Amino acid sequence: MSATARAAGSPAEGPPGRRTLPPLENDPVPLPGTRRGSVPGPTPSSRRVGRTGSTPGAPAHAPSSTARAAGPAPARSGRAHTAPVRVGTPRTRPAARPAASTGPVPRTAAGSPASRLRATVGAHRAPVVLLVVTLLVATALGLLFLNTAIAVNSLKATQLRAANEDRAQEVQRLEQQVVSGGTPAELAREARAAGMVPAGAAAYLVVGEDGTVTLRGEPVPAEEPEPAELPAIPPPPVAGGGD
Amino acid sequence: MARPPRPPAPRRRSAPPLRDGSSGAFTSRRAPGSRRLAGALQVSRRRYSIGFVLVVVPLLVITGKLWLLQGVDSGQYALAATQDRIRVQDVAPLRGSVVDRDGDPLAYTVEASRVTADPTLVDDPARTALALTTLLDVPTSELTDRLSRDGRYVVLASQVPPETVDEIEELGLPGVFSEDDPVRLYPAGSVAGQVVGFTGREGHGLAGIEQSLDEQLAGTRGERRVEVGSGGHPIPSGIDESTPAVDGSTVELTLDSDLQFVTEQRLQEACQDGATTRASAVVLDVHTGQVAAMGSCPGYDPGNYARTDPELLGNPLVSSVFEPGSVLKAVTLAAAIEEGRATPETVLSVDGHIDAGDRVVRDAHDHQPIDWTVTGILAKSSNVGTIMLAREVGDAKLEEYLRAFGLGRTTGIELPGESAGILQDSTEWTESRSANVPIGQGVSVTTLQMASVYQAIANDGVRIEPRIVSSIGGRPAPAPGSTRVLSESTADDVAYMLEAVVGPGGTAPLAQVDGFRVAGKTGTAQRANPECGCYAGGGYVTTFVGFAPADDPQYVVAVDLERPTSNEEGGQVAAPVFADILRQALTADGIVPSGTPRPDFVLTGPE
Repeated sequence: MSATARAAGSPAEGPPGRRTLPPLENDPVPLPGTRRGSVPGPTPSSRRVGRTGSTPGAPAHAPSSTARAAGPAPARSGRAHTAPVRVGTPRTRPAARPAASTGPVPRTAAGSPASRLRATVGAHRAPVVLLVVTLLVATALGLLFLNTAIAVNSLKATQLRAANEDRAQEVQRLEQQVVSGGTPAELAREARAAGMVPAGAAAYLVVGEDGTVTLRGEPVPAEEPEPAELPAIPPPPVAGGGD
Repeated sequence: MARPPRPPAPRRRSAPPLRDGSSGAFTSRRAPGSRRLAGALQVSRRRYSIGFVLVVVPLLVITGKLWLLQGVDSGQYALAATQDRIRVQDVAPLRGSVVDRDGDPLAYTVEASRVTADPTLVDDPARTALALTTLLDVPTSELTDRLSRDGRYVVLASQVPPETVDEIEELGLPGVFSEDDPVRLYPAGSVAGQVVGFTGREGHGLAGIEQSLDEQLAGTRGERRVEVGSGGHPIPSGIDESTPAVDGSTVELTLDSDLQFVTEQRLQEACQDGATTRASAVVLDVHTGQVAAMGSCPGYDPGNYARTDPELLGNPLVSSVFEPGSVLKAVTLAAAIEEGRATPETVLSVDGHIDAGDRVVRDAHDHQPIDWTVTGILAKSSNVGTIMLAREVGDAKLEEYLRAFGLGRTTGIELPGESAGILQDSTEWTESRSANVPIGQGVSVTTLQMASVYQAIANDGVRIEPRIVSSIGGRPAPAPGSTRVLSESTADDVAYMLEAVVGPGGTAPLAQVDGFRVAGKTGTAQRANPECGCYAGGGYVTTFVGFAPADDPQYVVAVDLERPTSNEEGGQVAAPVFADILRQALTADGIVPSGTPRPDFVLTGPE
């Protein structure tokens, strides 16, 4: 239906203008082969643009739009069956989009077919460029943001690590104090300073099987040794560091 | 020749008519179809080839160089580049701790750093030295001197505590670095110093447990690779990879720090009596063969080993040997009883002296023939009676027993430099040697071997090799070998006879511990004079080895005192030291005396 619909629609717009196009399509002979594929793209689209711009009140708009949606497909299938055709299809798409393309519209009315082609191509590139630029800016901003976030976090991590190290050192210092305070020599010195004396022989209270308690040994208070008798206590450990 | 068609340029400019209505950046100013004009680009062949050469030759050169750089030498350059900005730091593992049986550290390591510098990166040696002098406690002149040296590495200070290193890093001095240099601390000082040993400058163990278990204590080195800036300081958020170091395993000893302290203190006291030049003692757990305390005087503080007489930096308990003297008589008598040649009640008529080849062996105090029981022979420490019994047993059999008790070979304890002692083959014994060995002369043992002999007697005849390491890195040490040396009844008989030594009429009543039944044996052996290799002027080694409670033995204590200038006997000098150490071992462990009375010993034969 689409091919016929377009065929029916286009003559209605302006048969003479359309008539000039065929030579244009044959004209790109000097263009490279890939170009040739793109040519059919702009062609139908220019036709469309001309329609939207020139006929503001066209009631044929709605029906023709359905025809347009399907339009490129037949154009493709009808025109070229080689791969390059595909290159043309994406070009047509942005053109179908915004009404922004109203600017270049008058250009279609005048000038040679070649210049009109270039103008329309440029006009349809603008949104692409905008899109790409937007993407680039967004990427750059995103990267900037990510980098900043990473830097901030790494800074935080460094600070936390430093704080952790400080605590570990503090713990090490305290542990060192505990260890050196708990050595037998240190305990003996502290005990002596507190007025304690080494215990003598112990006496034992033994609970028998029948519950009777017997005393083994003789409990006697430990005697205070003469200060001169005290053996030299080894010097305090040379525990370097905190204390 | 083809010049005329050039004018297209002006023609292009004359295109305005085309631009009517179309304006904007994307509009071409060129006339349509004017892009290609025949002959417009005609160039001479010579200019073309010159241009070609000008473009292609440099391109080729560049490509070639690129290929050389990227393809051929790439690895080398990449390496050079990496080395230029990556600094590799060793991450020192923390050496494992050595702890006692309660987990109290005897040796442990704390983090510290070595402050170094690269003189080529130091801008102003004088100023840097001034900034560091108070922090490192090194004179300014010395620092300046080191910082001005040629070369790229100087050590400014070692074992600097972490907080000082932080302060130095805050100064941000260029060319000053720090690297790991952990400090080994020995909080207990000289307590168990000989057992624990010490580490050298390089961090390797040079004595004691530190040496014998160096591999397990050392751990594995790690590595940190950092990207550094021009000043040699790490770039934040640059490359920073590290392989963590694996810390060394903790070694748990069977020692009891408190008992160790008391033992060493008591030995210290013994050393101060004016005649004793060296005193050693070892405490073994009867049922496990574990060393509960082991020390000697003079000892040393491992944290201070550099300022200690190198002669003292060993562990004489396992490395120096002496002739045990009478304490070995217990082995001879045990052999006689086990072989069925005697019982504790057998009565022998013992003379005051006995011929032994080229010499005569006497008892300590010559006497007329007396009827002594075997118990009496041991209690009175009769040389003659012991030799008589040894002759009953025979040299080969006696040697067999001596070796079974562990003499003449190392005990296998986890300490370096252990001596095997000396025990000749019985086939080589002369007649006088045959008479000397049973009474503990002509044989050399270590204090630990002596204690191990009595451990076998106390443990119902089963000898367990003494060990001092209970676990490494949380894994229990392999169980020591145990062998039955005596039958249970023989062991009981020997223990009974040994109790008589401490009882009334024995040689060592001073070895008694209030409330407990103690068994043991004195020894007073002539000490070989190191100057002449003879006994003259060598003095004596007095020993006491015993265990308690006699009816249910828990601890074996062996004490030996080297007294070159005195001839006092073991019962007078070594026994009190033995008693004090044993009392501490029993009371601290909460051993309750059985309360059974000491048996009445029959020392002499019926009249």
